[in-house]
Amino acid sequence: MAKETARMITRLAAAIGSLYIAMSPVYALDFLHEPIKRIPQTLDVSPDKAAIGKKLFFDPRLSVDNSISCAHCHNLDEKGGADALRHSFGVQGREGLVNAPTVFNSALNSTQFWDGRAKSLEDQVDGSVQAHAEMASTWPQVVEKLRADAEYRRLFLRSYKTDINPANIKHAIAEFERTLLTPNSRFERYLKGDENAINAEEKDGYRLFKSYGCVACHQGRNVGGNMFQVLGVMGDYFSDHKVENKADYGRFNVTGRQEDKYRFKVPSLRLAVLTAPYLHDGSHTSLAETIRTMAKYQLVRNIPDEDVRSIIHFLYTLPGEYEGKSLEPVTREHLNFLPENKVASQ
Amino acid sequence: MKAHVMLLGSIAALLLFQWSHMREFDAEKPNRILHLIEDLSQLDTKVEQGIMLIYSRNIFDYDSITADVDQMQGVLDELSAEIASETLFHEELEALKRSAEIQRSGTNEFKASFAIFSSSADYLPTLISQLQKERPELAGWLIQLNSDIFLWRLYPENQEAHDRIIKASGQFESLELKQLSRHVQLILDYAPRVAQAMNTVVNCGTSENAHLLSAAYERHLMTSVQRNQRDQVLLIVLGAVLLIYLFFVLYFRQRDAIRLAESENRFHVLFDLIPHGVGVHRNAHWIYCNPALVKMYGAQTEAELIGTAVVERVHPDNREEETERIKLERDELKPAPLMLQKNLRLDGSEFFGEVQGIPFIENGKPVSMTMIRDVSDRVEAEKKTRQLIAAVENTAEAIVVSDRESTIQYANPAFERLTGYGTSEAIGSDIRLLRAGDPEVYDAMVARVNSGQTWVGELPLRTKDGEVIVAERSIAAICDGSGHVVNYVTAMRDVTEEKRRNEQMEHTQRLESLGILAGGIAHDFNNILTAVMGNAALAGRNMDDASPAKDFLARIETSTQRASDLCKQMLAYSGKGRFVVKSIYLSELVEEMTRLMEVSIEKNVAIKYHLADNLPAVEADAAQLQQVILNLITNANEAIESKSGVISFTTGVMYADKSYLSQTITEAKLPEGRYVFIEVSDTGCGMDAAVMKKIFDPFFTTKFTGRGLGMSAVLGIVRGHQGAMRVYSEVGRGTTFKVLLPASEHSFVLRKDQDVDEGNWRASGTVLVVDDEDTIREVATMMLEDMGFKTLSAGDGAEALHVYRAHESEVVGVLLDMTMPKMDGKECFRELRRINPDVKVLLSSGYNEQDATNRFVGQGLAGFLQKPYTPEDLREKLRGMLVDQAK
Repeated sequence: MAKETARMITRLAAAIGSLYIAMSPVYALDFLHEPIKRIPQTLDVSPDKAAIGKKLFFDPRLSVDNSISCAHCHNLDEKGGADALRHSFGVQGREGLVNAPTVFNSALNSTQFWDGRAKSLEDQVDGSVQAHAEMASTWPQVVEKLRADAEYRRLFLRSYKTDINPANIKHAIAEFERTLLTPNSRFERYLKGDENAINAEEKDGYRLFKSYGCVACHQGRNVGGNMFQVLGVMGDYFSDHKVENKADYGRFNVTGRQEDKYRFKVPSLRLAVLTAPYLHDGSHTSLAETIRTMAKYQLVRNIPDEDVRSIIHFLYTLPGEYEGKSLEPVTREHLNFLPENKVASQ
Repeated sequence: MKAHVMLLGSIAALLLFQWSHMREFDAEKPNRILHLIEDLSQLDTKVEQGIMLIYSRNIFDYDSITADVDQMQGVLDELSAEIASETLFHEELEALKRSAEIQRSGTNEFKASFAIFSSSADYLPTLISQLQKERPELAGWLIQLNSDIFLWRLYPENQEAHDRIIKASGQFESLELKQLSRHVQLILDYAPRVAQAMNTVVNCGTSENAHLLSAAYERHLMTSVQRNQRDQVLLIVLGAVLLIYLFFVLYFRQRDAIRLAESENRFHVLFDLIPHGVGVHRNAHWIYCNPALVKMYGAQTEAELIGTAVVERVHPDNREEETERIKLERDELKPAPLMLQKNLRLDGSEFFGEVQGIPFIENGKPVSMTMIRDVSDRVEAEKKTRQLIAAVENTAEAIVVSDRESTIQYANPAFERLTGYGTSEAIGSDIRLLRAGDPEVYDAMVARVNSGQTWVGELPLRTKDGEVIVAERSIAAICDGSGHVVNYVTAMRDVTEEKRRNEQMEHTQRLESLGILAGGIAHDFNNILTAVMGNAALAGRNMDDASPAKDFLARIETSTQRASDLCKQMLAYSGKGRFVVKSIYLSELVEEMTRLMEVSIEKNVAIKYHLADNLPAVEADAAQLQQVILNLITNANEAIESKSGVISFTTGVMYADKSYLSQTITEAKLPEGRYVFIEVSDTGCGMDAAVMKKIFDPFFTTKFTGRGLGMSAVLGIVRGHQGAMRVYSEVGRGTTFKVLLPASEHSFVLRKDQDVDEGNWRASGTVLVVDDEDTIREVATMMLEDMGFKTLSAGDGAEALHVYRAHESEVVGVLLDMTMPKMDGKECFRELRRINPDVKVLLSSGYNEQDATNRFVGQGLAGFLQKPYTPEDLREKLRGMLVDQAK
């Protein structure tokens, strides 16, 4: 009886499995259940405090020698909120261990830093201001310097009703960063139902993005940024790429758990087209190369060049607007990449 | 009060503590906490649902579960913050945190694993269908594999499918299905991991732990609600206790305040009523003065004194002392002792005050209350008392105070002198000790005194020596306020000596009146004898010598002469005998009398003379002195009686002082000075004291035939000469009489009587006779006319003046009687001199010359004629007067 029942269930399962396989390529787009969500227009932010944060964001006095500001590594104007360097440089030319991620939409990340050691933006500020390879400052120094500035004292007193202190500074900067959103991208318009917001090739790219399984990790409002994933699920990335520094251990550095070794926060792809080089170590200079690496180590798939091209097209629809201006580049430099066979032959 | 405040404070503090403790009880908090726990459970469910949804529908909505997990964390943080203080839930909270963390890591694990698993699993059908096309020979095997994997994914516990997949994967190598092998491997690897992650998430126990926490919290909530109710009750009870306590405290305070006000009012009334001055001063300035003090200082209102310095009202004599007292009170807070002080009223007058002060603290500052009693009356009374005491102590009268039991309570020093009992001895003893007479008298005395009257009288008194003396006593009762006799005061005076003196005085006065009587009789008698003698003499002249009547006339003259002698004795005794005062030398006088004395004494008596030469003269009547000497020698002779004896005469001069004179028998006081004396001593029988006392009394005699006038006359003569006598006598040894006469101041020179040639004098002119006695006037007129004078006569002074004015030129002299009615001799003499300052007046009187002429001293009296007088006496005086005039 039990055997018969089991066989029957097996049959039924086989049938459903077949049906599932048959249906999968042609399923229709359900905007409400798309893995990529829309960026909110704004977050709940105090404009006054954000204004102070903006002033602080560009203030080099946060660094030990007044040489660099937050904007030093997070260029909002040209470099998509990052610095286009493989590793960032801190005070006195000190080189950091990782590639600087964009500050845009960082408020939508569940954690900050590649290893997610900061649970909030405030924590991230705390880390960067004091990190040896970054601003290398201390809070007493920073507070002292800012208190010397009557304007800051006036602003803080007006908005925070207290004197300048580390918590206020961190909050103000974080508050500013919560305004650094890039909504209203073409893809978002598409998600809202504007079929013509993106062209066929880009739609194709999006389809491929999903079907190759990229979306398994790069999903949500930020197309990433809400989970940790092992770099090299299938195939050992670090046997092909030597471990450069301890940052390569990823989240292990935070939790100390063996299973967290080489786990990194999945980066947002919102401004991916603007923020080369890629990966935590900045080892990949082009999107195509990065997509291929991801396919190889994460998906165990071969993505043909035309699919890569489509995906890149899709990625170009993601940058939204900041301060009313679209961040989407006019030229699509990332489409100029060597075919795979050429790369392999090199 | 302090204790009340502390107790009240404690209760209030307890109340506040309880209140704040209750405020900690946040009624909303349990709601919030329960809500949070609820949220947590819901989020847990949501996460689980989200995961299941993702897993079942293969939709990668990681944002929502990530957000849910993040929110869960946020809620958990909030919850931790809410109940962090409650250690009670530490375990539950920690468990919840742990499960939440497990859930979070499970979720992360799920996200990562499911991403890998799903992408492989999703790709697998595509890959298989691709392989089916490429390798049609494996189509069946591939379909089976696909079906197995699907089945196994659906039922992970389906071991058969799993085994088939494992078996199939063993063929991948040989079949060169490398990619398939890797994806199948991934699926095989990650499916359990996904399942485990989901398991972890589902079984992490978050909701259970949340439930446990909730249950624990609700239990806790229950107890805390109960506790809160208890706290509320306690709060109300505390509040009630506080209010009741406060009520009682206020009630008692109010009651005390009323009592205090009443008490203060009583004191106020007291201070207003009290007759003593009461004041309070601070920093030596008055800040309060009661009405008595205001009045005492002579102020109208209190305001006149308030603020003035205390010493201003103190007499300058006491100010320094007062300043010291104030300092003592203020600096050492010691009471100033009672003292008597002179104070000043506002008008500057003084009064004595008894001042006493006591310091105390008022409003944290030392002040003094001073009480002043006006004791001026008392001081005055004390002064008077002292005076009275001094008077009583120093008076000559003995004063003694005794009580009703006759016990002596006070005796003054005079008492000791009187009775011989010392003051200390007397006090406490019985006053009846002094009694020495009839007890009935005393009873009467006591009765009188007790009836409130003063008894005055003489009573015998027995002194300490036992001698009884006579004392005049004045006894009075001292009564208390209600009239009861409490004491007797007796004043006593020794009157023994006084009585004796009084007796003597009476005796003397008797003798004096006898003298005056004798003198008066002699005076009238002399007037009569003058008439008798004059008429007899005139009758004799007008008669023949041969007439037989002549003999009779001669006898009349002799008898008249004897009567005149007796009168002389009487006048001498009375001190008013006729005095013919001359300067007499006593030694000479005695020598002249030698013959006369020798014949008047017996043969057995010898006379010795011790007569001093060159004695000062005495102004005396020689005849009277002779009489004195004769009387003395007669007595001496008789005292010697028939035995042989000696009478010695001694004369001399001596200086007699007061003490000497006081031992003499004399009349009144004699001046100190030189006295000429004559002593007559005999060796006769002498006298005893009793006899000696009486020898000068008239009519006292020890002789059988004596008239008892001899010694009286002697004393009268001596007194008449301002002299004195002393008598020494011893029975059987003899007697000495010493007569002292004042030595004359001006005559040492022997004065010879003027020898007048009688034969050359002839009477001529008119003589005015003035006398109120008709017989005297007639006899005198006859005598004068017989002499050859013309006469005029007047009955009194006024008539005499009238006559004298009419016949001034004729009248050569006036014979003037002294004692007359209307205008007496003295006044008449003055008036006559007014008419004619050179008028010659011969004064005539029955009294002696001394007496009479004393009234005319320095008035130019021409002479004095003692009544009775003979025609020869008259002729003699007139001749002397008129011859002097002629010269």
